[in-house]
This record gives sequence, structure tokens and C-alpha cells, in this order.
Amino acid sequence: MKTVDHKCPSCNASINYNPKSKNWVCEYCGSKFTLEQLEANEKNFESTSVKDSKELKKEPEEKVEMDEYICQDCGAQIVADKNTAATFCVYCKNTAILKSRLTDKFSPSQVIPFAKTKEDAIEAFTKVGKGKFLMPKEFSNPKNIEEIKGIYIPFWLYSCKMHGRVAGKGTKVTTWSTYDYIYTKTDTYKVERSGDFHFDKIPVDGSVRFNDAIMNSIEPFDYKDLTKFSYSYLSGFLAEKYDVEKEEAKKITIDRAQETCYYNLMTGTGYTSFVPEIKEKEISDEKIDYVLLPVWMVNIKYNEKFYTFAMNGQTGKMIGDIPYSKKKAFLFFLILFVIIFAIIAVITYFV
Amino acid sequence: MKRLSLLIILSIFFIPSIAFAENLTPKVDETQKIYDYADLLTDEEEKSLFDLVDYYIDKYNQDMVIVTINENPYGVSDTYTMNYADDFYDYNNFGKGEHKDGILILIDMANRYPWISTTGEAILLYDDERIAQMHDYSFNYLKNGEYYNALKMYVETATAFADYGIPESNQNLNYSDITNTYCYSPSKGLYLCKELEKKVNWPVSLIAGIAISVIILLAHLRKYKGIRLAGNANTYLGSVEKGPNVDQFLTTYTSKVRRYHDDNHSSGHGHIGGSSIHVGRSGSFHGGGGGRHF
Repeated sequence: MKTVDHKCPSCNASINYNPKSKNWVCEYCGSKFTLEQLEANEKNFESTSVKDSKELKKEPEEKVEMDEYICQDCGAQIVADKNTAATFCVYCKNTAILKSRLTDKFSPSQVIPFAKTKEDAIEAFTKVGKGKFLMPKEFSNPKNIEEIKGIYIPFWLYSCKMHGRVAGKGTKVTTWSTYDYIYTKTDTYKVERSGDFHFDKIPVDGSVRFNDAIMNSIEPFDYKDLTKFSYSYLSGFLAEKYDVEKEEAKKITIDRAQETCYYNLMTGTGYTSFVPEIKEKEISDEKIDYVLLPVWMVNIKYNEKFYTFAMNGQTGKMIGDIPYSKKKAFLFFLILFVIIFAIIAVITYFV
Repeated sequence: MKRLSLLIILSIFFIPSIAFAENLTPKVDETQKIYDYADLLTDEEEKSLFDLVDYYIDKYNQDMVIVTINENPYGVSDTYTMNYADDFYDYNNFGKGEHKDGILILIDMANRYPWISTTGEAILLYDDERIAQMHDYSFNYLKNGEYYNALKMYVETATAFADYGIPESNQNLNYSDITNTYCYSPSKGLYLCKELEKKVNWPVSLIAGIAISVIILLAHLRKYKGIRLAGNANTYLGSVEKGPNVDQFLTTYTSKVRRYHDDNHSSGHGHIGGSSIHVGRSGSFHGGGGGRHF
């Protein structure tokens, strides 16, 4: 099997995608290339050097479906599991893009290139404690970062038209008071609401390996940056192919869309309460796209515990569960209690 | 020492307001009985109401006063409406007999709120239930701007209740019941039977203090949890075309609950039997209550 990384057309050193300048910059000779220039060179490169690369046979008794590849730069063996589409050579640290992993049905239609660098991710991590004064001060120190990886994660983008209908009983409650009585009037109505909801590109991550909640939390991505997929974008980053099938992804997304649909139908009805007895939906105009979206995964080790943080590689939104100091929390509670207790005590004295 | 300084602070606030209240109440001829400052009635209507009022005063030996105002010099609120009614009665020397028995009906157009103030025996005669009924009967007239009919209805229902005599809720009052802040005896009238003691409510302060602190702490700690599954897809919702709404009326139901007024420094509130009682700014006791805003 062949691996591909990108060579500088000028000096033949490895070349990576630069999120800041949105082009490919050679760290050795300083040359800059656009996607078109690089692809023109790529064709030339494939017709010559790829022929020379040796393909290793897969190990016959492999159980965890690991494949071995040969690094284009140093000739070392690279081991990757079945879902890895781009990785690094452990010896020379150069990108190895496993093109065969992203072909046919695994070929993404579009990609949002990274716009945030590793440094941006580190800086964002140092600021996670903003407004969270119960966080141990040392937590956001960059020295706690164990590993930081820029990964193109496979996502399904689901679009559809959903016709929803809810029906049930609604009540309108009006109260008024005289000096001595409070009156409450409850009117009950039969209520029905329906509507067509157009959903556009709801993302669902296509990789089992990545936690769904984390991927939900870094949303949203700005789809105006979606561009036609090219292997060149993968240089300098890791990439995965999907292992969550289209149908499964659809199911997850429909659940999410229907919540929005019913919620929208049930709010703003003008009723004090509305309890639907019937909830129905009909789906049409379905469309599902397979794309790669950029994510910085930041693994933190603090006080012998591991924390996973993630940053949206396009917008820079950094998320993660932040630990809090129990001691600080207790102190905060005590201060709150003393103040509130004193205020209420004074109020009860006068009233 | 703490009590004394508190008393001084309270006096600074309340003494001028009491003096002020007397100045703001118009001085009137007490025999006139109808004071239509808001000009809601024609001369004929005033005359016709006066006849009804006069009949009531003669028959039941209770005073009756009708006041309408466009502007309340104290301000616009239900409490100010009450204050105006009480002060109008007290500072103008209305009322029959030693305990100044009588009823005053006030329409406060600034607040669009009717108020009935009762004094002396009338406090027992018109318990909360009856006051609420009187307001109920007149509410629709007030709402439709038929002020003469509304006031006529007030006078007629007041007359009808006077005919029935003191309601059951105010009969056989247990004069020695110390849980009542106010007591009544035919000779003394209404009197304060127990001074309310001011003290801190420790259990309430403790429980509310803990509960509110926990809520604030938990709300703050929510910010630390950054990883959550998405429950909706609002961000990805484009156009929405709502279908026709169905709203079909089925049933209606109305309930009422009695309000309990807290006791307080400036104008104490309490109740005796079935009547709510408060102390007016002149220091005399009043019963009665307000209706609905119209």
C-alpha cells in the first residue's frame, strides 16, 4: 500500500498546509504554493516516485485490522488502524496520507480546512478558566497538555424537510386579585399546530472513536468555508474515515431535528400550558453529505487525571469539562450563605 | 439601643407622611355624602344616589359615603387607593356613634380600582366574603363605564347585607382569642389585643439561605461542564412554514383563594372573624377591601 505526503516542488522537502496563510508553506526553503500549483506538481510526483515505493503485504494473521505502510521520507514502517486516513511517521514526523482510505464511498465530497493553528489551540486552552474562579489556577497551564493533535474528523451533514404536527390540550390561566382574594380562571382548549421545517446540514460525527458529546459541543461550523476535498489539505494533520454508517448517522440526526421541530410547534402557542397527546412527523427531501471537518484534540493530564478538550479548528471554539477545587467551592458556598442568610434574617425581622 | 434607633428612623419616615396625609385629604361638608370629584355622575344621578344613601343611613344607623376621584394625591397603587378611602373617612369626621360606624365606597379612576372602607360596626357587618360579592356585582358596570349603575349596585347590595345583619363569620367572636391581633367588644369596639413582636425568623433564614446558596453554586458549576450532547438543531433550522392553527374552546373553571396580609409597622393588618382589618394612618381601624381593576 502506498502512503502519500506532499513534497515541496522547489526543494522536495515535506510541505504542510498552513491554516493562517491558507496555503502550503515549505519550512525549509520558504516557498509558498497554492492548491493548484501543488496539485500540478502532485501529478508529476505520482507518475515518477510512487512507482518506486514498495508495498508491504498485510500481515495475514492481523486481528485488530492494522495496516503497515512505508514512509515516503525515511522508509520506516508506519502502522495505522483501519480508520486512519492521515497520520505521522513516528521516526521523521512527516505526514503520511493513506489515500486508499479515502477513496470510493469513503471519499469525502468537501472539507473545511483548518483555520486555527496549534498555537491558537494552546492559547485557547490557557484561557479556559476565564470567569471560572473555582478552577484550580494551575489547571490551564500549557505544561499540562499531554498531547495536541489537529484531526480531520469525518462528519455526515444531513439536510431534510420535516413536516411536524402536535395536537393536545392547552390551558389559558388568568389570575387577578382583589384586596382579599386571588382569583384563578383556567380555560381549556383543543390545540393543534403543524408546520414544515427545513433543516440544512445538521452535522453528526462519523467516527465511533470520537465522543459525540464533544463533537456536538464544538459546533457550529461555518459552512461557507466548505471547499472541494483535496488530499493536499490533510498535510500536517491527522485524518480519519467514517465508521458510522449513513443510516445510523441519519437516525441520530432525525432525533435531534424532531426535538427542534416539536419544540418550535409547542412554544409561542399563546397558552399557559400545552401538553401534546399526538406528535407526528414526515420527512422528505433528504440529503446527506460526507465531509471532513477540522478539530484540535487537546489531551490534558492534571493531578494524575486525564481531561479531553477539543477546539473547533475553524472557529476556535474551545470546549471541555473543567475541574473545580472542592475547597474553593465550599468557601464560595459559605460566603454566599452568610450574605444571603443575613439579608433574609433582616427581611424577616422587618416584615 | 437598637430598638430605639430603629424607632427614630421609622419616625423620620412616618411622622411627616401622617401630617401630609391630613393635608392632602379634602375637607368636605359631611352631610353631602356623594363626592363626585371624577365627574362620573349627572346631577340627577347624584340626587337619586343620595336618596338611596340617605335611606340606608336612616334605617341602619350607619354612615355611608360615596367618593369618585380622577387623581389620587398619594399616587397610583392599590395601597394608595386604600389610604385615600380611609383618610377621607377619618379626617372628615364621618361615622355614626362612638365607634364611627359606616361604609365608604371609593372609585379611584387613576388606578381604575374600586375600594370599600368600613369602620366600627360596619367592619363586622361587611366581612370579606360580602365585600368580594359587592365588588363582583358592580364589576361589569365599572368595566362598561356605567358608573351610576355600579354605584347604585354597591348601595343596594350594602343595603341588602345590612338587612341580613351580621354574618355568621363575625358572630360569637371569641374575644379572648389571642391569636387574633385585633379584638372586638361592643363597649370597646375594635382594639389591638396583642402587640406583634418583631423578631428574626431563624429557621426560614437558615433554610432559605442554604437553598439559595446551593442554587447559585450549582448554576455557577454548570459553566464548568463544557461537553454536552446537543438536544436540538436550532442552529441548522432554515425556513419554517407554519400550518393552520386549531384552537377550539372546551371548558372553563375559576377558583379563588383568600389573601393573607402581613402585619407591618406603618399600617398593621390582621383579621377578626371573617373580616380583614387594617389600621389607617389616622390610627383608627378599618375593614373592607378592593375589587378588581376595571
